[in-house]
Amino acid sequence: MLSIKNLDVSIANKEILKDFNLEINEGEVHVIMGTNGVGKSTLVKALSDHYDCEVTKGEVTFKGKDLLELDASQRANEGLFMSFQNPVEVHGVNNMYFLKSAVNEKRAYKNEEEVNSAQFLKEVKDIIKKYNINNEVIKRNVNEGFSGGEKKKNEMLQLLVLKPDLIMLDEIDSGLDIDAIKLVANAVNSMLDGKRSVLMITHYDRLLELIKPDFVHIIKDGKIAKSGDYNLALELQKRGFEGLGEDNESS
Amino acid sequence: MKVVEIENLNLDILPTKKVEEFRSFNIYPIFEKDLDFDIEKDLDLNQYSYLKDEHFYNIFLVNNELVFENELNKFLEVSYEKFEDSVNKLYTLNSYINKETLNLTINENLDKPLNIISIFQGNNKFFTNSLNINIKANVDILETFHNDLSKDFLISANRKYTVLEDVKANIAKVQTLQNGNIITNYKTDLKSNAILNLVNLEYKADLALNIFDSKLENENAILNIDGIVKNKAKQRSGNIAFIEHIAKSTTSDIKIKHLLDESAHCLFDISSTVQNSALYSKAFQNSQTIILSDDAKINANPRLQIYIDELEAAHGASCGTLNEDELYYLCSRGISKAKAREMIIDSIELQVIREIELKAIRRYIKNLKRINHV
Repeated sequence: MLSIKNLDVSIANKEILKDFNLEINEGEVHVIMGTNGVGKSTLVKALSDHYDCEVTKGEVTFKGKDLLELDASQRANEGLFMSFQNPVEVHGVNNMYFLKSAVNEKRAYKNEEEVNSAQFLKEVKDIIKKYNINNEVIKRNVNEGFSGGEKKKNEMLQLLVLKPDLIMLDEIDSGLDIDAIKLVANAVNSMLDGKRSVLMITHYDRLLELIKPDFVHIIKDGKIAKSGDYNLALELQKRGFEGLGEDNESS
Repeated sequence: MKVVEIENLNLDILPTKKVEEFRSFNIYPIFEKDLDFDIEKDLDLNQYSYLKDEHFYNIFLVNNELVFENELNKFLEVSYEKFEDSVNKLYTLNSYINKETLNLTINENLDKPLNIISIFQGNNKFFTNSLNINIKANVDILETFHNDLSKDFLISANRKYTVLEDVKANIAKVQTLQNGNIITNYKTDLKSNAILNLVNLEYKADLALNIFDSKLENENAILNIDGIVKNKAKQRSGNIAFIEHIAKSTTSDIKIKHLLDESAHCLFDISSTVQNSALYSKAFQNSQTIILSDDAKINANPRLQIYIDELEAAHGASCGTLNEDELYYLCSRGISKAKAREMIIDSIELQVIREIELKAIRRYIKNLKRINHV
């Protein structure tokens, strides 16, 4: 589904990712781990065409298409979804209007008809009820005045409504209590149908206990230094990056 | 004929670049343009029936005459008055064309808001549009200035709002005048404990200039002016105000938001003076501008002149672009950049439109905006 080859990404003229390579197939769950500042968030931001990221070299194909040729909205409509580490407050834009607009933009991109308003409202309300999200979320403006947990839940709501093919979670578990983490895990797991893939960034294994990864990668010096399965994450939890020799000091 | 050629006109009333407020916002060329001063009579108002709304009492203001249904006669009184002076010299321009100004008195509470629809028909014309409104009971008024048939016209509009003691008047003005110019000269006379809430929405005119002259001479009078200016191409809009606090505990609060694209140019020049008799008064001014292109510009000049210590006052002017994080967040969900911009701009406009208390007026404005694609 996703193929990254020899990718170099800079932020503010500082090279963060260097010769980065990664392949994600359909249905796979990948986890990216690493010390602070190694480029984990830069990776997902670069894939989402964040304005801070400058791709200076490399190729990225997504479902056979050159991802680097597409802008942020096109990448989203192709099926990419990044949940933000710190979701942005969009003042004055109603959350329900935003969700419906996003769904309709995706449909227009695929030459499909706009969503039926009544059906869409029902779908959203069903999701809110199933995942114990506060009903007020759809009445308020996008993330405006939301607590940290509510913002992450709003990310999940968007995920469930937009149904992307590649779900990228940038430290979705930060700032969440155990109940909220379970909710996130339930939402993500409900979408794993063998075709949908996940790329998770996390520091802690509490989320990984709930969303079982197929692959765990440790980033160091701008590229993947070590890969393994879930056991690598457990080992990391026990020994730390330093213990595994994958901290910034051990180059 | 040109405005400068009006018989006996004191040319000093026309602001040149030498006048401080107009130094970087020169409007004198429109007074030197050849215009047709003859007005078309006996207009067929049926062609403007789409501007009427069943949730309002609809009144047409055509050629300085009011046209309305007989049922309103028990609530409204129409008369004529002499023109007054103003610290704004342009206020007297219409007195050179018309002998008197139209006067509308609202005597009682109305069960529906008033929609005063000003009609201008004819290309390349000079129109005067003078109306004093005496408000004796709480009222909601919408003033609609819409035109998509005529072009290259100049409207000189005068409005004087007199609000009686303990009365609250909410007045919204929406302007969608395509291919024309309008100068609106305002005067206010607020009695004790009167409240005047003005919301101005400026959209399509090539030039839209509002000049306010407001002396707050009675205790506890409150004047709120909120506005949105949404301009593009080479459109120009200006808000100039001369506010003077004379009585105790008076309040003025002027807040204008500007959304400027392409080569639009705006002016915000507000002078608020708090005299030493105006203890415990409040004077606020704020200009917020979102610049959407490299060539758009705003001249913002908020000024406070304060002669006492016992008051609250603040002024500010901010200028920026759309928040990049907000834009990116919307785009990351598949919303195109153009649509994301539109959503954020609409939300800024909505903040001002929500200052209009009555839902019927907000709904009318929404429909008018949709017709005009603004």
